[in-house]
Amino acid sequence: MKVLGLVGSVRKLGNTEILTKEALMGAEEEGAEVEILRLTDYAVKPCQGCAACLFQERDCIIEDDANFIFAAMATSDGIILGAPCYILEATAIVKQLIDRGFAPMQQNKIRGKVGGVIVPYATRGWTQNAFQQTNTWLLSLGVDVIDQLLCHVQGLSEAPLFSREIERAHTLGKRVAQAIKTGDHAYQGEEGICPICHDRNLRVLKDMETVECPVCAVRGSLQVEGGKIKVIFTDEAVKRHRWTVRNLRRHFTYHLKPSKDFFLKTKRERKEMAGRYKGYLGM
Amino acid sequence: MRYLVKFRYYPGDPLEEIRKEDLQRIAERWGLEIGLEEVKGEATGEYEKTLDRALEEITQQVITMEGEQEPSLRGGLQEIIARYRAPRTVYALWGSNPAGMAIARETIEEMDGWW
Repeated sequence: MKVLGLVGSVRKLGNTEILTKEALMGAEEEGAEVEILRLTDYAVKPCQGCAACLFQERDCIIEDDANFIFAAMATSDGIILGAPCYILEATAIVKQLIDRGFAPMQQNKIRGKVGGVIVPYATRGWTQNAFQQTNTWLLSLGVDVIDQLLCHVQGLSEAPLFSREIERAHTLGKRVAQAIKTGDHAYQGEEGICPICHDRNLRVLKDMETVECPVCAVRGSLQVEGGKIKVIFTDEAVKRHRWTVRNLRRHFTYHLKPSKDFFLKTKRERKEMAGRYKGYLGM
Repeated sequence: MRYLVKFRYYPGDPLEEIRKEDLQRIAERWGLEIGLEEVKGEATGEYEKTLDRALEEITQQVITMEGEQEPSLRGGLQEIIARYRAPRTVYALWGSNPAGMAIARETIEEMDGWW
């Protein structure tokens, strides 16, 4: 049983690294072999939108370290991601890896791994979108995220001052390892609103009747009972969520791959019309 | 002005089953000609191979709307989008004429741009 820690922070021995290591110590106690990668030590270039991974069904053609990171995830049984939240969201390396994830999303080599997420942050009220990125990345790859933790810490290396945060990180690591051992991947973290990603964000659609989890695309409606908001999701809506193998396969099959024929059908017209932009302002 | 709009729905795209009788009611209400075409693509193993296939040949349901009055077309489009949601892709309007496509894109953005 191998558990991989991924640190999405540049800072050496910062809070993210400390809390991720604490979680790995918990996993180790449960018998896991552990490993850690600082994601920002690796070169991960932006996705260039060439669609080679899609059309040729292959690994990404960009020669950098993204394929190595995905391979390390694929050879682990559990993944613990630590990503600090500076301004509302997770750090840029997480987004960079989301966009580079098309190949592993199709290959399903990471699907079914057990995941845990730790997000250290400094100021209350500045974390609203932090789990959107971590969930988008891990759920799109098929990782079963069983626990997630938001840790209120600020200065460099101060996490050990807060015993509750340290204990929770340790427990998260143990839970990940236990879930691997038992095969029970049920979510054990704090319950949110969305039944899939457990985050608390909702979008109100233009019909002003429907709400949707922006990450999982599960749609529901709101009711107010006794002054409390209740979000209703039907079983059917939950089953249609964005990240099922079936839905992702459908997306690749019917929404992305046929774009090649559209590209060819419109090639001459597009080329002519795009000509006026070529070289404009020196680009 | 003759407006022609094609909405191509791929498997799983419409929020409910597209039925001819429902389309017929919308057609009558708005004075449009509305048709439904079912295309069954070639399945290769578990999943359909859609790369290197013509857009028109992969599995889809195509709703075709034709009419001469812009307000009627908008009304019909609004009902269809409200019922099934808008088609998902840029090429889902392939086969529409330019006038129809312009109205369809506007209506989609007004109603369904965030869906």
